[in-house]
Amino acid sequence: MAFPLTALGFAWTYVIAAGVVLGALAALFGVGLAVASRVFRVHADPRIEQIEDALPNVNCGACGYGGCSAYAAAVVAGEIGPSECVPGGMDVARQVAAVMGLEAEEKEKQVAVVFCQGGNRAENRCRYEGITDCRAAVLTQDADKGCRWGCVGLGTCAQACPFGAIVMGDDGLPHVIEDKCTGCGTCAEVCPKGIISILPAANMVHVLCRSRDAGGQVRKVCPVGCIGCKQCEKACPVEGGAIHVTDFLARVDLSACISCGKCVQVCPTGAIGNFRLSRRAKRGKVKGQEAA
Amino acid sequence: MDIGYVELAIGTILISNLVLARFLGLCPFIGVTRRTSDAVGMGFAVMFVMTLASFVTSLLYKFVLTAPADGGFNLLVALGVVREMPAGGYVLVLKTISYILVIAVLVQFVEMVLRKSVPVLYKALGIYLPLITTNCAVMGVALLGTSDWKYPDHPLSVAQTTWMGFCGGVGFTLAMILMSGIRERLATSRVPKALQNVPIAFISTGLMALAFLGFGKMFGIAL
Amino acid sequence: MHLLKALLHKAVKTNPVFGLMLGLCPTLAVTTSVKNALYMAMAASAVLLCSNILISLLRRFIPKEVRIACYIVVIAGFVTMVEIVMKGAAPAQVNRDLGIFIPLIVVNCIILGRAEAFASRNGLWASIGDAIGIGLGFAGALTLIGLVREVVGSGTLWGYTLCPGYVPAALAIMAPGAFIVIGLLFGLFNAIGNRRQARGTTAAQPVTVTTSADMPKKTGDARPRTTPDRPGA
Repeated sequence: MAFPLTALGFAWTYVIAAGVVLGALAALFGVGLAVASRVFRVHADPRIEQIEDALPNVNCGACGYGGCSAYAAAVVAGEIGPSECVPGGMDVARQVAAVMGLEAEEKEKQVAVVFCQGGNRAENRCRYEGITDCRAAVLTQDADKGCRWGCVGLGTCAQACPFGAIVMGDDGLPHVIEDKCTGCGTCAEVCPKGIISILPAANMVHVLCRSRDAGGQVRKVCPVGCIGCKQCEKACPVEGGAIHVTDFLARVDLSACISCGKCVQVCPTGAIGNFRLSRRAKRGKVKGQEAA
Repeated sequence: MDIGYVELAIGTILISNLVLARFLGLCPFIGVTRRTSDAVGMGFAVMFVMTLASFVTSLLYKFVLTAPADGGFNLLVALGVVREMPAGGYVLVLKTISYILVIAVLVQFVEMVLRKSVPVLYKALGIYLPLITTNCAVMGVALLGTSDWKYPDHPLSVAQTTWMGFCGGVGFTLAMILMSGIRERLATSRVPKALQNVPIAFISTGLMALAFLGFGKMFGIAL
Repeated sequence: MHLLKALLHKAVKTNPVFGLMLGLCPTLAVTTSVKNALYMAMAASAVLLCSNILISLLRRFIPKEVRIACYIVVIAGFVTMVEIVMKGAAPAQVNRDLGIFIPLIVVNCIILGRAEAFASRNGLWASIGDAIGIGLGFAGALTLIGLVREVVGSGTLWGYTLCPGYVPAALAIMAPGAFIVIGLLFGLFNAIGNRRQARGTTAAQPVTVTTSADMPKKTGDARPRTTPDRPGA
């Protein structure tokens, strides 16, 4: 056992030395840092930091800027309004508007919709073994699905979502958890087939297929694809039609559609989907199946 | 035995790599290596801080904390603060606190400089910059070069200690870049759910460390 | 009782190594044997306790801008004290094995983290409890890893040979073994956590879509919905 403080006489020099060394270092560094903070001063509007604190800091890019800091800087610079943060919703919009002294505008809720129902039901034309990423699969001979418009099913969208709002199901398709979905658009951007779209939650009927192949070809590879038979067009009660078939694919005209669901019933392959049950159920008005 | 600069370099970068052989700097190693761009930025910042920190701490060690060899210079004795240095100097009591003060101030300084001159890097590193203060790698390399130097009878000169700090930073950055490359690849692979993210990163690090073990005693350098 | 439960919660649920992922450097470096692990845990816990107490007492006097520097100075003071005590009181072999990691306690994220997150905001007794809980958790984690590495890597436990015929896998005490062992332990705890989560409440449900396939069949609609069986790919 060898303690350094063997004799009391020695103890004081330690105290003095410690005090002097640390005091000198502290003084030197204090002055140095003070000088440096003058020299390297960055003039930043304090509002930018206030806005950054209010933002969710996910850096998803839905506002159109590279990240939350870029959006905050743009708002303070007056380039863009305070309500553009999609994941933040109205809460964040109000906070940002409060910092800037502006009014926050109401934005309608938007969600991601996956325009494919094939998944494991659709036929494969080959076997893909490689990086489990849809983009990689598409780069390799346009992936392994028989339908070249449909979902590849390797889960890139699920991995990309910053909120965990889209998950891959056992059926080989991505499923959107609409309670978590903020409509930021990250999944839509990464999907190499472009089958995810961000649409208003108020539109409840969509044709969940993007295949422009002729009906016979669609039948060969997918049991639930749109064959372009035009039954939905005939069934639509809206003046001028809210659903039209072009290129063997039915498309809903979102501005005209009243989400009545008549086209959903007559579709022979079940390609048209009605989201009404899932979305209305939250507000407690479960109406069951829409009657004819 | 005099250690040359090349031997110091090979010894610090490959043989006793700070991360893979000495277990220093693991928190940023696991935390910042998800993207190669972050890893490179962090690596360069750490390199800069390490070099400066090694330089200042070696000055402190040689001229303030230790008892000088015959004919040597000691600031405290020269200023008349103490009449003579005790055997072993004030190293044991003052090294930890003075070294960490130096490092904390340096990190603060680097943060200020980066914020003004390279704001993109400052934004990218974000929270990780102040974390360099608590990075065991910077403090560790300062200790390894001065008071915990492997051959106490042949201490390193100030220039050699600074060089060792720089090489430590190079080794750290090398390990970070290798790790981030592997992790980016792992992110798109089928990893079992329990092993995803951190566990598989550690196992990969272990395999890398195994590979780096092969550098041991290379060219007869024993560092 | 309530206090014990709170301590256990701190030690297990927010375990500093496996839960918060702090203080990884000393964890891997010193766990070559259970003895080293325990000495390190004692040293770190002592510093944690003392620094928590002092910072909690001083919390109203430390200005916000320089708080991190103040915490570091306080912690460094206690680390120096612990260093001197270890040099005198601990066995020479342990001191050699622990090496630079005793002074490196000053940059251990656990201690600074608890000072910042807890001691600076809570009273004296709560901070003491926090230090004890986190210290116990740290000791537990270190001992677990030390146990695995010592038994597998040297075939001994606290220096006593366990199984005379066992040829130890020396890799476990070396650097790669440390990483692999902790990676596997992290994986184990992840698996336990996942299983516990799966048994708990279900996550938010994905959206459900109704199509014509879900509706009762109308008469005369005889189109087959599924394609006929084809030789699979």
